[in-house]
Amino acid sequence: MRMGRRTCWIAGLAIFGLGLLVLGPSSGPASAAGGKKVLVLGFDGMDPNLSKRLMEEGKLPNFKRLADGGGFSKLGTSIPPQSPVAWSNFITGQNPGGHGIFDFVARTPENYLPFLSTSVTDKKGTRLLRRGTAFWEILEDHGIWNSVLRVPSNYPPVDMKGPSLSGMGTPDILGTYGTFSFYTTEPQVGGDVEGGKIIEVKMRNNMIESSLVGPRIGEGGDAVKVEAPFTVWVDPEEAVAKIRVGDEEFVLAQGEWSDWKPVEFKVMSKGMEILLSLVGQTSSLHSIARFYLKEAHPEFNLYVSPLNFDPFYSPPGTSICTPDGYSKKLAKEIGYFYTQGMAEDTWALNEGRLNEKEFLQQSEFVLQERIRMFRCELEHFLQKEQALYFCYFSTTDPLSHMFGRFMDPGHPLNYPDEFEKYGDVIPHYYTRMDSVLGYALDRVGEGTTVMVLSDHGFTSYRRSFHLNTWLYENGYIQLRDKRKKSSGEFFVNVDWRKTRAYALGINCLYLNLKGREGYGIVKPGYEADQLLAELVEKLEAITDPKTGEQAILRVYRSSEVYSGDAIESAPDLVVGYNAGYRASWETALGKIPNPEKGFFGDNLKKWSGDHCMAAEIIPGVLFTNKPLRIPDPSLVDLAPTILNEFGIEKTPEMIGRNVFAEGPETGSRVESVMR
Amino acid sequence: MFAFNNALARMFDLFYTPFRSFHPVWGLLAMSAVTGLILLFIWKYTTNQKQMKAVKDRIKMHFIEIRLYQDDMGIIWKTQARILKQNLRYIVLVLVPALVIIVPVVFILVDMDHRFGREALEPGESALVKVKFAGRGGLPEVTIRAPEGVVVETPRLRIPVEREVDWRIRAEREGDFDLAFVVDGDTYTKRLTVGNSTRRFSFIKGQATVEEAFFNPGEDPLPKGSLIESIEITYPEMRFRFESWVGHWLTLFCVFSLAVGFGLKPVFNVE
Repeated sequence: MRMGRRTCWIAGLAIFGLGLLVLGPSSGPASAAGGKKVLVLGFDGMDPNLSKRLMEEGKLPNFKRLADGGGFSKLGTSIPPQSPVAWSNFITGQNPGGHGIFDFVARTPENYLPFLSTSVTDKKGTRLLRRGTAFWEILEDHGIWNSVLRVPSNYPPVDMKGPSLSGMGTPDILGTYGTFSFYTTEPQVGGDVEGGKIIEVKMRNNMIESSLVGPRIGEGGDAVKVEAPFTVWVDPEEAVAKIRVGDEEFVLAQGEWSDWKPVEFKVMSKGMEILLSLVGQTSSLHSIARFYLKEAHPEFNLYVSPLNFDPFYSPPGTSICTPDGYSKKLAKEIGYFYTQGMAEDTWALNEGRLNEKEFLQQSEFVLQERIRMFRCELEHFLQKEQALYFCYFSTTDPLSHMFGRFMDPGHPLNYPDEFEKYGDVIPHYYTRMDSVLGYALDRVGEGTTVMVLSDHGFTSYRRSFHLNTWLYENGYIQLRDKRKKSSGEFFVNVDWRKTRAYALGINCLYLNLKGREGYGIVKPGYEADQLLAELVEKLEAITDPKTGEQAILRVYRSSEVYSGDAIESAPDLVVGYNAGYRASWETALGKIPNPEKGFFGDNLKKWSGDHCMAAEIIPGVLFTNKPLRIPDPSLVDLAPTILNEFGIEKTPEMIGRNVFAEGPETGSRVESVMR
Repeated sequence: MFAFNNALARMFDLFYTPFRSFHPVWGLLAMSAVTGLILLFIWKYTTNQKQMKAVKDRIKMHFIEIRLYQDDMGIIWKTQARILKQNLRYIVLVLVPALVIIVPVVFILVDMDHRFGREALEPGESALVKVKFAGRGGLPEVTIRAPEGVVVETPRLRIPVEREVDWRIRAEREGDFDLAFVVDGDTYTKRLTVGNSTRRFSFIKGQATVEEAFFNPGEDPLPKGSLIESIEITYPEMRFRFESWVGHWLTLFCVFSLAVGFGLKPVFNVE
């Protein structure tokens, strides 16, 4: 039976209509009509004063374009202005009293031992410790597509349907925030360094045999350290070497970096591994590393990057992405990438294993990968009708930490010849961020709300303050062995039954509170209040004998600046240092250096810029392509603002306001003290 | 042997021609399917189908016997012995066909390894070039000459204990290039393949032997007795990925050719 002409037309139209339904709106071009789109770029540590200066000099044309057409403001940061804390404010719209991240380091009150504050790994696996609801979870509940790449304080990432990749806080496969390895024929004194393993090797017949050290597998006494052997052959005369690790072989000339190389730590026998591979499984730990041949002759020096999770494999007991398999999908599109949180190897530069030039090369790899990642996911965002896309760029933060001294002629570790050489590094990377922004603005068009923010600004870090030494000298800390007049890390020599207050982390100070701390002696209530008042008064009065400057600008009482359900784990005081000052590295880990050397010391490390100071002096930046309607925006305002862009009400826990709307302040805004 | 290999290579090239512009997996699956089919026919015409059917029927019968007399241990033991005997008969019956099958399969596998084992370099990609020297004693002086389109990125790396000299090279554009190695005034070449396609290319070039001709076809060998024993380019390994599965081409080949063979058994009435 033949169909009539009319029937054919009806059938054709029906198929066409069905086709449109199947293809749906996602296959169409980007459009503002009918749906809202928000693009948020996070540039860690971008400073408002430097941004303003560079805009005035015409070096940031795209930021200028955004500021002129929309808004530019200083952005109130968190107390304290540390990245995990600040980004948690952004994510949840709450202050630390709500999200529970108070410092890089938190402590277990029962035993005073520190742990990294954003995640914990135990027998059940790895869990995110940040509390509160991320704003993109709310968006997903409302059916809005979102992609959140590399935002800090989101490891393991909250379970989402949309693509996300964890950022700062994501460990390497050793479970640290990034431990490099350095293989050298030079005799070593002192062993490992901060953030790195130093391995002395012997060269025989121009050949070196050693191993990359993996994590410990198993528990307790049965735990074994897994290793991946590698061999290096060095030419007898030329500055060139061949490295074989696993099935990979590659040649590096002196001063060259390798691409990412897969490094497999075998846990089972080869036979079992082959059987498992047939069903697409593996028992091995899969990581990736970059090798840098620093020197071939006369000494051999090889830097190996921290062992990052291989994005093609799901790490055991944890996750770095959502949905499962997204990191693999991304790696297929852009190649291998750093999966560890802060990928720029600041420790290797600080410890002199990489020099400035080498560190900049390594940082460039990180930036290039991030740009590829950003552009790749931006294409998916452009295809959506209604969507949020957040992408985080770390570069400005580690570069400002490590090259801050070249922006500060008064820094104690400043050599005039290097000043000229590296004085322009930080501004250069601001211009690179400007290019990223320019690309984004050109691609998204006018219908998309664009926001650019940083979590805090930067200033020079000239002088270190040994807060625990000061507490000891002023009788707040007592030592068990008084002859030593000092204590190693984690308060090993502290007499807790006589200690009233202690500092841990970069800005946190705790009372040794009865009923809360393991050996607490300070009674809650009047005694604690009196002690806090005394500490605030004394700390704010401290002056640096070398400069005569006030070292601590402001000491915040947590009960006054925090609100929310997590306040019970807050420090009692948050120490806001003055510009140029910061807690010493020793203080952060509960160490008490001998007071004979004084409470202060010159910062002679290359880590010379910082932001762990009083929040008032270290705001971040906010650029938007819409006019800002409130004069003093803060990080906690951005989650409500983004929700509002999609017509969604903020949650009762969120304390911020919509920065694009005028009107009376609503809700509790403890953070307003910041402005 | 070299002429035979070249003729065979041309035949395979012809087969893969329609798949050249697609992902290599399509050529691999097509060859696996054809191989499965060929093996099925070889099997059919080189085995005694009647006898095989009889043996298989007997084995089935013995299984029924075991189920029926499961309470009688004496019968069960005897039946087990009979099953073993029939299995041995079956193995004898398939021995000759298996030997016949091995011949084409080996040629197919060697050819496939040169198409799906490694990926040709992409423009901008680097690879290691290894020259191994024959004999003993000190390493001869060797220099590398790269044609336009290929850059030698590192100085030579000499490994006297391995009698090996290495370089890292980078391909700048697509094409086939001849790298030249000069040793004691003699020049030796090795073909470098750059560009993405399902093409057969040689990874390693050795001295002219039957073994070399068989296992490393695709390029004229080095003269017998030359100072250089082999020249190798470490092309990246080709991995096939499906969702969470990542594997070697041989796994795909085995699974797919067997699936085709077993799947079509009833269609062609093969035992």
